[in-house]
Amino acid sequence: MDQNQSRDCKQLYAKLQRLDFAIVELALYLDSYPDNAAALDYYGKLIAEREEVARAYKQGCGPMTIMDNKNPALWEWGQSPWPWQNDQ
Amino acid sequence: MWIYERKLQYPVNIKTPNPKLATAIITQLGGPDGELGASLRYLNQRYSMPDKEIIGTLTDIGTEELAHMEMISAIVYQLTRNLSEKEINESPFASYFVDHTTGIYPVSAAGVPFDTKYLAVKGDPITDLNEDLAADAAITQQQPLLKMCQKPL
Repeated sequence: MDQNQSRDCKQLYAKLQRLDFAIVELALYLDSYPDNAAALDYYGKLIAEREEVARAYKQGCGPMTIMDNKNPALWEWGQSPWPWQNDQ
Repeated sequence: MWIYERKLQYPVNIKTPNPKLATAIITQLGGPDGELGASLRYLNQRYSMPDKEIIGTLTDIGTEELAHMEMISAIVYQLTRNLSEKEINESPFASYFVDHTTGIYPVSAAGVPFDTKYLAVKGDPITDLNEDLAADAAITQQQPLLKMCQKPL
């Protein structure tokens, strides 16, 4: 992975983290208020954005789940750094 | 079922190890008000709930507590990296180190191993929801820890 790609991946990762944080909290709200139109609308917007960011991350940076190993020649899932290892 | 996502719910990037703080923070993993107890409590109470909203909420907060567990573990892991023998021996982390070295074992700040007695599941919705209110009084449980983090140790 070259330096530019690595920087892009860090940005995508941070963006995904921010979006998912918001989506999880919004889901908790919707669990109690399932017919709140404004919350549902906001949820839809976040999910659409999330799908794009997640697709870019999986394609260019590596697997986020065991479903995302896009490299047919390498099991990247087991080779990439784990999220608690910030020392790479 | 659950599928692991290769990211923390919120970033953890600790630059300076601090074994004393680790000894306190680990209680948020395996102590009486820790995330392990929280996730087990919510996920196990789901089955006997009568109503969709409650089951949905318990499923999602129980799952979120698992993510919290991972963040606390990451904090303890990073706080106890690259310690010298002297740093370990001079801190309250020394007795934990004797039993677990720098592995992440769910204990309270006093070193008591995690116990399912920290949670209750009675199969009665009102009883269980009251227990959830008491258990998730996050302000009470985190106040001493937050104070400790704000002051240099």
